[in-house]
Amino acid sequence: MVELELIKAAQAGDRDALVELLRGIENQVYRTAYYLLGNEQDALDASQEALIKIYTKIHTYEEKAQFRTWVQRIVTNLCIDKFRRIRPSVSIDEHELVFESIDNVEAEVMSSYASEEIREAIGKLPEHHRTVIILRYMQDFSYNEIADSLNLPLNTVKSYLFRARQQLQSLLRDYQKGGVRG
Amino acid sequence: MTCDEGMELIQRSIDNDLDSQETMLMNDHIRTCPDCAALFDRLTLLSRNLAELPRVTPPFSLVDSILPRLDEIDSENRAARAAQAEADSVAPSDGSPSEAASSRRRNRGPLRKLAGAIAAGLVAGIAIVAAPSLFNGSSDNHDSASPSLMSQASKSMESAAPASSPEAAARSMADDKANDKASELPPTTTPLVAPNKVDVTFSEAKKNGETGGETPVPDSSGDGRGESTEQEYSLSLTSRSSEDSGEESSPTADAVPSADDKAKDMKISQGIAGTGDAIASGSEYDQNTAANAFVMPSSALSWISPDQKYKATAGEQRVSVYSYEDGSLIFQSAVHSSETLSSIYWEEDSSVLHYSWKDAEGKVTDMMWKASTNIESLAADSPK
Repeated sequence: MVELELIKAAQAGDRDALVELLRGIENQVYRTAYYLLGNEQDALDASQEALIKIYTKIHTYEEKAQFRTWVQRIVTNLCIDKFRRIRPSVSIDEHELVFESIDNVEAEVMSSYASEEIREAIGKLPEHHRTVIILRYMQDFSYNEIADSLNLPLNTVKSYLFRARQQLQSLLRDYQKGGVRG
Repeated sequence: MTCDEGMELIQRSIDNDLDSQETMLMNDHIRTCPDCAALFDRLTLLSRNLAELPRVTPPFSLVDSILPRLDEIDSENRAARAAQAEADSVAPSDGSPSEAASSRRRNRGPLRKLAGAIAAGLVAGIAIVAAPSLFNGSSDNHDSASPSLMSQASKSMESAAPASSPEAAARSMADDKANDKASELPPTTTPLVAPNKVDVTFSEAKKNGETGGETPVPDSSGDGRGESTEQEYSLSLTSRSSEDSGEESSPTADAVPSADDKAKDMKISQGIAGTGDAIASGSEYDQNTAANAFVMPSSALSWISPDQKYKATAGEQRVSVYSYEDGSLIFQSAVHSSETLSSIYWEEDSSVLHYSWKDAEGKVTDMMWKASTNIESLAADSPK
């Protein structure tokens, strides 16, 4: 069955359809949780909780919303809760967006950032900025889809996304220079 | 074009959000501004790297790992529906069936935590309920029986932390005909049996102005017992805040602290219990059919508005209102540190939450929180 059919069946009480639906979204749930929380164990816990929540709340999903944004909303809310309890978020003011000028005229060596470094850098972002980045890149959401998931205005989403990218590239430049870590 | 504007275009271009004209403008700017050009390169690179981050997957099947829990939930729901049906048959429901059904579905989520805690709490509950001889007797037995039972209850409370409240809730919920949330609890045989005992307990309590056995406030000082003249169905309604608020249930650990705290707890619970209106279904609180009419909030000290939009909680001597759907905090009253909450209930149309604070001298202040304006004010007819 395609997802829409599964959803309808699940909402009508077809338990097998509901379980199959969950299997279909299990990875996307985990992926978001993993990057939001930064480690496998927390991600596993949060994902299981999220799937259970989706299981019990399936009847509250309304067709007018996209299923995947609804799913991601549940995951992100849950992770943000967990996130708050694990550690306080880093203030973005620490790396306030300052339009920096290039300090050297030579072309910088452009190499890819290591994925580990990127993950670390993502981990330093405040929760909403981190969430927007993850939905944009892990889930390939559009601005609108991110806005729906997080229940934020479109402009706010853009603002978070742009600042997050600015901050990430700034952090990663610091890494590359072999300087500031953590 | 300023660099700020250029920056905005660069960012959007990475998301393919520019039309051809905007792209041209951006390129023009980049051509003439090395800073922006460098930023464009870095951001583009970053974006590519972000897109290439590993698409991690769980090391095992998550759905398989939760199937047992899903089975549990299913059987809890089935049992809860059975209990609801039984409760329904006891007395006619005030609420409309469709309303009950829809709110039942909506309430499933938050109550699961309750259900989980109930499993643990039932052990404590059984211990409490299983001492019927202490309770079923005449009122004479009360004075002597209660302290030991209460201390037993308090011990169980301590060990089964948040459990006894939901567990007691399970009992009263299995009891209640109109409370939709009752259907969500996993009433095993114990809760189904309990109501009878609870009936007795309650009417006994009512008679003697004493609290039921489930109270987590073993008031050895005896203060709480005689004082309150309101109905005392303090089903473990300590000043514990709801799970949604994320506050630790530390008051539980405090459940056996000084007599003052206990008395306070008990007053809160007594007062709150006394209104009996704190219910989604808005059923009339009938003093005479105590056990049937008394409806337990869905979790310790919380009152869901009839329209299911809000959840009011009373904890830490203040009233808080949360969005029922996502648990976000909407309103919080000031802390009334020397007062106890003597009453709290929703208007039938959910437009207003009424609550009252009683100070040490017994003076009552009626307050109201209006949903539409999110403003707290003195109640219109507050006696002053």
